[in-house]
Amino acid sequence: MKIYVLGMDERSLNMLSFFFQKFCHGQCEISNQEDADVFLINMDGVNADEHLESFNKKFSTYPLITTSIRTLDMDNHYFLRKPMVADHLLTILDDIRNKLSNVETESQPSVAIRIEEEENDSEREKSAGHAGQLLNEQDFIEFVGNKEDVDLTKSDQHEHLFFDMETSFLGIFHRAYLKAKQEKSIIKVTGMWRPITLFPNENKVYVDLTDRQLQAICVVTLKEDQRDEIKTEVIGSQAAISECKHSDNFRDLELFIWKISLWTSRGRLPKGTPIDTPVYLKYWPNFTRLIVTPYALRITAYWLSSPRTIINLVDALAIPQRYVFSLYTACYILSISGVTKRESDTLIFPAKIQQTSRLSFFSRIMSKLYSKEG
Amino acid sequence: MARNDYKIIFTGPVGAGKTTAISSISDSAPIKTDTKASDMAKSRKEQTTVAMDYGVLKLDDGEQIHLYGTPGQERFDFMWDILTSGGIGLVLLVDNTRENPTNDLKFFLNAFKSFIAETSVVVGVTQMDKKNKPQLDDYRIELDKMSLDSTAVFEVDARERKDVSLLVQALLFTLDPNVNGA
Repeated sequence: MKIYVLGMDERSLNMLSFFFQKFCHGQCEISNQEDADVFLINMDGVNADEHLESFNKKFSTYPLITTSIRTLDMDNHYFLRKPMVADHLLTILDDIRNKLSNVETESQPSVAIRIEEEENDSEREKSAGHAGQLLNEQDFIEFVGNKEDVDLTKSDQHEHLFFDMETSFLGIFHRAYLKAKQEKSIIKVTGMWRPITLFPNENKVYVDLTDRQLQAICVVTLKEDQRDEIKTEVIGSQAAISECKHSDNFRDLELFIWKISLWTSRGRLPKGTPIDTPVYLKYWPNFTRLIVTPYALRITAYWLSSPRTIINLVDALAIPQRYVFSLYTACYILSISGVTKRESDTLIFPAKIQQTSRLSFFSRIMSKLYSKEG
Repeated sequence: MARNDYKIIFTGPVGAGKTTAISSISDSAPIKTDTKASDMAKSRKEQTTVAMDYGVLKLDDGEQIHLYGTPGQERFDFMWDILTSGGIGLVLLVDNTRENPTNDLKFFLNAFKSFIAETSVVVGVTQMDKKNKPQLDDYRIELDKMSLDSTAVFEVDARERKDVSLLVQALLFTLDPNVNGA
C-alpha cells in the first residue's frame, strides 16, 4: 500500500521507509502524492495543522492516518501513536484495505492505537542481541545510518553533521545517567511512554520497552512542551524494587545507553562537537558487551594513542565519517570521550602511527578471526 | 620454528580460562597438557595445565598462528620466558571470582613486563557473571598505575568464540591500528 507522508523531514522519511521495509514486511511503502492510496500526517511536525486542513479540503476521500507522540482524538481518521508499532500500523492498513475493496463510502472510524499494557509478548526483545558481534551491513544501518561523507573543509556542509541532543530522548536520558552516576542514586525517568529506572551501582536499567520501540523513540524530535513533561527523580531502593517487578525488563545499563546513542546519532555528532579540536578517549569500551560498529576497534586503537581531532581520525583512517561519528557519540555519552582542555594536547599535531613490518600478516590473522565469527 | 610462524601467548592464574579460550578459537583440537590438580589448584578445578596448552589458527596462505597457554601455577613460571620467545603479544585472562583478581593482574603484568614492553597485552576478565566486583574500572585503575592505560580490558566468557576473537582482534589493532579490518 502506497503512503504519502506529510510533515516529516528527510531523515525521518528515511527512517520511516526503513521501518516499512524491515518491520512491515514490505506491505507498505512511501510514495508521491499522485500514486498514494493513503495519506499519513505527522501531527508533531511544524505545519501539522496546515497539512490537516489542506488534506480535509482536497483529499478527504482518501484514508488518513495521523501519528503523534500524544494521544489525539481524531474524528474520522485513523490514529497511530508514536513510537509506531508495526503490527498496529498493519492492522490499520488491513482495515483500510478491506474498506477499499468493499468500496464503502461511510466515514472511517477513528482507531486510536495505543501502546497497550497487554502488548503482544512476542514483540518483546532482549536488548542483549548484537552485543559483541560485528554487524552485517543491513544491521548496522540502523545504528550508524547511511549518510554519505561531507566535505569537512566546507563549513556550509557542517550543519548536516550534527544532531541536537537537547531535543532528543538521548539528551534527557544522558542527564539522568550522569546524575545517577554522580549521586550513586536510583533515578526514575517519567513523563513519556513508560518509566525508565536507572540502577547505576548495579549497572542495570529497568525498561519496559522493546528495542524497536526504543529505536523509534530515539528518532523523534521532542517539542518543548513534550520535554517539559519529562521528569527525573531520585527514588529509594524499596520503591524501585516494588515498581520494577519483571526481571525480564532489567538490562545492562552500559549497553542500553550505547544503543540509544547509536540509534540517535545514526552517523552524526552531537551538536557543538568541534571537529577541529582534539578529542580524547579514556579507555577501550567493553566491546564484548556492546554493539561493535564498523571499524570500531581500529578507530579505538588509533584514537587511544593520543587525542586527535575528528577530522584527523577520519582522514588518517580513511573510513566513512559516519563510523567515526557514531563511535565518538557513543563514547561521549558514556563519558569516556570528550574535547581536550589541556594546552599540551593541542600543542603538537599527533604523530602518524607507523605501520609495523608485519601489517599484512596481522591483516590475514584478522581475516581469519572474522571468518570464524560466521 | 619457521620464521613466519608466530605465536600469541595466553596467560593468567589457575582457572582463569586460558585452556578454554584457546579451544574457542583454535582451528584444531587443542593439545592440553593437564593433570589432576595439586592441593593448591584443586580447590579451583579438578585438572590444571602443567606444561602448556597449544592451539593453532591456520591462515589461508598456509601460515599458522600458534596459540600457547602458559600453566597458571607459579611453580611453572620458568616456562613463561620460553613460551614468550617469538610471541607477537599477550592475552592475560583473570578470574573475577578469585580472592584478589587485581593482585593477579599486577602479578602477571610484572612477570611478563619485558615481553609486554616489546609487544602488547590485552586483558580479559572472566567469570564476571558469577561475581561482578571488581569491576572493569578497578582493573583500569591498576593498569593506569602501571602506565598501561591504553590496554584493552574486556569482560570475556572464555567459552564464547566471539569474546575471545574480539580480545585477540584488540591485541592486533593495539600492535598496529593500520591493520586491515572492519
